[in-house]
Amino acid sequence: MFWISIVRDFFKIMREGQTPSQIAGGFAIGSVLGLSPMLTLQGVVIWLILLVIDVNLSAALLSLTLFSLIAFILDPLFHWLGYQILVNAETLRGFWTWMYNAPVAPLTRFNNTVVMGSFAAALVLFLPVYAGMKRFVVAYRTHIHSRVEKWKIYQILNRSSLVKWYQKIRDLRG
Amino acid sequence: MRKKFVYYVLIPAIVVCLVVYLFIDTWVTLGLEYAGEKAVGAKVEIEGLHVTLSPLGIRWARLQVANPNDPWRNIAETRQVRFAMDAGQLLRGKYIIETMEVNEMILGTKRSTDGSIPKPPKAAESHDTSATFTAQAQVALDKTVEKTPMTNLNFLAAGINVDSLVKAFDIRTLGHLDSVRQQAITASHQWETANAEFESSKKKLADIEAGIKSINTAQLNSLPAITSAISTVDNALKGVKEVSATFDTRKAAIQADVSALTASAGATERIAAEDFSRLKSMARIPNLNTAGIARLLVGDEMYTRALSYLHWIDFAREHVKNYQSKPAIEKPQRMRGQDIHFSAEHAYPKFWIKKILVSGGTDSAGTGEVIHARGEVKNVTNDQSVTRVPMTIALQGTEGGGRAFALDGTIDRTKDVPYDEYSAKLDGVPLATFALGKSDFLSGKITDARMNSSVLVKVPGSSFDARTGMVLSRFKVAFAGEPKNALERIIREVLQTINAFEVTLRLWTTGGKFDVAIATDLDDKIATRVQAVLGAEFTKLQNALKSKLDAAIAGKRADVEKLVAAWKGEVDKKLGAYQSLVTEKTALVDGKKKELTDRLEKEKKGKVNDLLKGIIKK
Repeated sequence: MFWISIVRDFFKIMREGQTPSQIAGGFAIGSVLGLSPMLTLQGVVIWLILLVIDVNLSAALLSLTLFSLIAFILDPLFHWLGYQILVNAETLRGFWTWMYNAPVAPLTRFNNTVVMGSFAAALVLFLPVYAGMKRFVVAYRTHIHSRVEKWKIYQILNRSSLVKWYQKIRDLRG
Repeated sequence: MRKKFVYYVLIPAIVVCLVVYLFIDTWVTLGLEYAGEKAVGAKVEIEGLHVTLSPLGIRWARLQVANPNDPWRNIAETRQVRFAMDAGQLLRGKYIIETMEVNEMILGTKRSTDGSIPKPPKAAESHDTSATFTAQAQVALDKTVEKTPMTNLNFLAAGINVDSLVKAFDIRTLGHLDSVRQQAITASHQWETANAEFESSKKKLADIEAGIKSINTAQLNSLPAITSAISTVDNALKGVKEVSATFDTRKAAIQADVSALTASAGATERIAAEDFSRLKSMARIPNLNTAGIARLLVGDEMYTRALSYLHWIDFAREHVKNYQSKPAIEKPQRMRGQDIHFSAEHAYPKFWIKKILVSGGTDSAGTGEVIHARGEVKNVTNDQSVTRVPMTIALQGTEGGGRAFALDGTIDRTKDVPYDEYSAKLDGVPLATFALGKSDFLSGKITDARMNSSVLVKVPGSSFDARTGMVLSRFKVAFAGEPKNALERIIREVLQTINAFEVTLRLWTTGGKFDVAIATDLDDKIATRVQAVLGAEFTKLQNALKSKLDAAIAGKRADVEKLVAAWKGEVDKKLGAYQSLVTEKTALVDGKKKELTDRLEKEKKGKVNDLLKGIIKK
């Protein structure tokens, strides 16, 4: 139910409300969270950033879900990438050694191959995801929305009494 | 900034802190138990754990570590354990503990619940187990399966018909004696020929002697007469020398015959002994050599015990690894990844307990059933290349019932080649069961024994050398069913009369295949007992066989020996006489020649003097 509501809100926001930059920003930050393992220091920091800055949360949560699935599929690739960065990148070795023995830094679990590989991939993908999403939102609002409205799934979600009931309950807290 | 930040961040943060505060003890307990169970392979239970914030540390009231090989017993159990962690290093993600206090460590306690845990699926065991010391030793031990020794002692009861046995026996000594006789006859013929030659030579020597004696030197007054006599003597000397040369040749041939015959006659004793040995085999009388029986008796149990110790050595090898600056890429579980460690000099490793202080406590229950351990374990770490010190273990313990143990160990990963050394001593341990024998031979068990054992293991690199010694005493022996044969009966008697025995086992490899050696003083004890029980019967039977065999050989042997001795005596006597004769005649001729030569010189001198006198008168 929560996720149906998120998707419904996402479509609503895509159509009107927050700016394309806010939606794209939430989506991009959500992609970083989704690609990286959760229990790391940088994960907590990114969550805080997500909550502090004014970006779209629905987009972030949808992106988190989507990219978590991608991360699971691409895990072997991230493991390989992380290994190359940590072990075979000789120029970075001194930096990693310093980080490993520095306070707080090890809490990022940077020395784990999957953490390093997925985080590096997330950072590399951040801007393309942001830019791509921004363009998509603009395109959606100008061209695509009229077509999406005709989709059956959109109509079901839009008219769903279950979703409306959930939203009423949710909105009771003010 | 978002307006409802406080609701979204602050309140959840407070809630999280509250939940962490309330549940951290449980989480840490579960985490430590999970890690311990994964490492040990049996249940690890922690009770009363508290995480303290000042100083930052952990303490718990009780810890039980089940034995994976005997899940109803604990490897160890402790009362209160407490330690503080270095908060500064914890911020660096490192777990550094200066001193861990372990109170009342007790070994081998019984459990009220089963300590086994479900074994991980086989697919999870991705590492190659064939390279472990346990696997290699298992292969070596499987190859040392002993065959059941001689058990055909039932003939003692049945008895043996010695006469018919000797009659049916192919006595090679008799054949040999025939051969010696034939050899003596041939030599005798050769001797007769030579003797005839010697007789003819005697006549020739007699003629020479007569010719020499007929020369009267005093009557020879002229030089031509003397010269003629010397010529005759020279011819005589030549004749004597010819006889002497012929004699020497014949004598050498005959003496060779004598030597050959003596050697053949001398071999009779050896061949007779071989005949006796074959006769014993034919009579199925086994040797009273019992080597290997003890190995059959205690080998399986010792091997099982050795393999259980090897499991722990492999455990140490697998879990205390050499640091690699460039680790190989692994294939971890999905979303787990592989941790890469970056060591630096003067830095701390990821995990380091500098000292674990174990206090033994007292046996408050006074049952005398448990061992309280005390001592120190130093430098437990994940990376010895950073700490530069090996892990050491020095534990010892005693209990009221007289049991005592000492365990010392060094696990060194500070150098390129890993080195492990362990020594353990366990005295006065009550042993519930010790399996004996095999299913087809002497199946039984020792119960209520006391055991003193010692183990010394050195593992440098891929080499391995383990020596285990065990003394079992004050035991009871129980066998399954009735003895299947006389040997089993005797060994049962032996085991029921002795009250202690010792077994040593050595397992070693220098990087190639594993070797196994097992020794025990039971072999000597069983051999002595077998000798005592069966010795008289054996001796009587052997004597009967020997006397019959000797009787069968004796007649012919006496004849041949007499023949050889007589021939040899005659040959020696006659050869001596001939030798004297030749020597005597040679001396006679030589003397005559000298006499004539002197006479010739004298005559020549007389003639010269007469000539000079005549010249002077003129």
